[in-house]
Amino acid sequence: MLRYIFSRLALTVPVLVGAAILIFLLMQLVPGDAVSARMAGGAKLSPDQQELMREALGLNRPVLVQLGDYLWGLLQGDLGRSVSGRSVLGLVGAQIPSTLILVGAGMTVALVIGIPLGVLAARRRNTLLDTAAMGTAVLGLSIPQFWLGLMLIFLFAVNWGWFPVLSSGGFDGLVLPALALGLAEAAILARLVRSSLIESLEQDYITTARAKGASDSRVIWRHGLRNALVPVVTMIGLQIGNLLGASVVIETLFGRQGVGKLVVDSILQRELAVLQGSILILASIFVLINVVVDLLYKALDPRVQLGTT
Amino acid sequence: MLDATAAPAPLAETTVGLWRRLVSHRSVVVGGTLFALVLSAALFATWLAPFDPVDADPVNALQPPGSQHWMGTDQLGRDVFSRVIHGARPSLIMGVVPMLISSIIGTAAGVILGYYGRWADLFMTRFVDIALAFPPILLALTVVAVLGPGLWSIALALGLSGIPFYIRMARGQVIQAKEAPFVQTAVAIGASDRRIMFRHIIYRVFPPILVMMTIHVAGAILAGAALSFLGLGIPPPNPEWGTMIQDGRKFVALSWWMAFFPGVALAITVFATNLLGDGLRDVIDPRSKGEPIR
Repeated sequence: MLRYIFSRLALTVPVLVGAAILIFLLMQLVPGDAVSARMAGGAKLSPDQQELMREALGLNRPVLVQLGDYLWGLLQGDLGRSVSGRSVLGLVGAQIPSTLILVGAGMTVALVIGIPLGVLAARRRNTLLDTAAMGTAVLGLSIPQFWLGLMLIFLFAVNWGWFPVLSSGGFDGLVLPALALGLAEAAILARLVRSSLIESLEQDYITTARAKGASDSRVIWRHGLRNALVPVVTMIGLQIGNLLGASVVIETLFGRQGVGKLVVDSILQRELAVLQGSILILASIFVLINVVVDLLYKALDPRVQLGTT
Repeated sequence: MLDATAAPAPLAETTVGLWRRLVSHRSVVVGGTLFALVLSAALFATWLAPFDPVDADPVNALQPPGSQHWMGTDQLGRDVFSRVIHGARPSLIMGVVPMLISSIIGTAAGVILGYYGRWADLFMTRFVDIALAFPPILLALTVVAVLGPGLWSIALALGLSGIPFYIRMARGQVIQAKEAPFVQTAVAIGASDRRIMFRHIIYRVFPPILVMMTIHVAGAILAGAALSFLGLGIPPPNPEWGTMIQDGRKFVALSWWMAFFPGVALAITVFATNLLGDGLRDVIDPRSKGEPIR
């Protein structure tokens, strides 16, 4: 298992380097550079001063040299500087815990609602309950998270005053954003758990378990769900990626601090170094979470080899 | 021994049966009807909308839903119903255009890479791994940052960020199909690469891709609306559902209807597309468990 963990981690290195190169090259295509961004921010610089600043920041050098410098900086934990001269790593690093808490809470909502709903639908397959559960799931999948969030704000914050309108960071402020994020993912999970559990309940070992007199609950939760969870674990990895992406919108909607909000602010303020750093950090978190998911997958199904997941 | 019966039937023989199965599938019928309604709104918005969607009428600002304004009015007195109807067009563009960009480029690349393999395949597979390291909406956000805000920027950004999913799907299907007896037979009797790809393999690739295309439209509509909500979409005063929800957010305590109705329209459109995707999958590709690209 230890060897598997190291091999899996080693596979992430080229992906992360590639992601850093891709995002760097994309940023090169953005019109303007750090100097023009400073001028747009109100700095008054003569053409000579602009030239000097470009030279000082190394923006006059060939792109490949700049890329080499950027990668070398990354190795040393340097993600560059913002227009105002602040460390990008410091700026993004300060926001990571808040985003991870939000994504974790969203995923918890998805799991707590999605798995029981899927199990219920599979147990009562082809009944009205199943149809209603799956209909709700498709509907949940179709509702925009930011709109759901806004409606939750209207009902629970504005009308009833149960939760704050803006997410301040405490538990109170986490409930509505987590629900807005997690309900759509719960719908996806419910559908997958249902189909996966139905498939697994048709296997021979389930018939054996029933023949041995195991109770219905034990057959489902102990035998059926364990195997049904294997594809679900892979889906959870993808869903965390979705949640990291959706955090951009949800953090903006709830005025909650986080890497997602930093991404949007940096686009609107043309803070390209911050944008580059934020996206790279979010992609790295996503890649690392997928490593963890693969390890879980391996733990659930020991037959899994590298390259088959 | 090669099993000739494993070869898929030519399209002409299966079309009628497939169509019958499609039109008798409940999800396809309900989803298709709802989608046709939204499409009609997009195409005939000028005739269907009772008011001009951009004409301000400050005297009637923030009116609740009533007999004159079915969905109320916004902060400038514009009719929300008319704006919702006109908003269908950009939303459908943001759903369909990215799907076309991604599916055409991604499927072509996936088929060619999967069929010919070798170095290009190895290189592109690594590239796809890298592109998939980004949650799709983040990649789209980055591309919008490059191109600047606007409807077509969003459509292009979502289209480009969807390509890796199609490459992976098409490539996987081709690699499986290459080993199938009917393709091996075609190779053995000396069929050309082009004939094998476009006459035999494409039938294996197309069903899951078609399902993916439908589900992709739903995901792209949602992602496009989210980007518009962030202020990266169509500039005001033109109506677009994501932007309308953003406008409604500022007035949510006073006039819930401003954000409520564009959201319902968005949800109905995505629901219709998801239902269509589910139905199509049940009928033409029951083995797959395709989930949304977002």
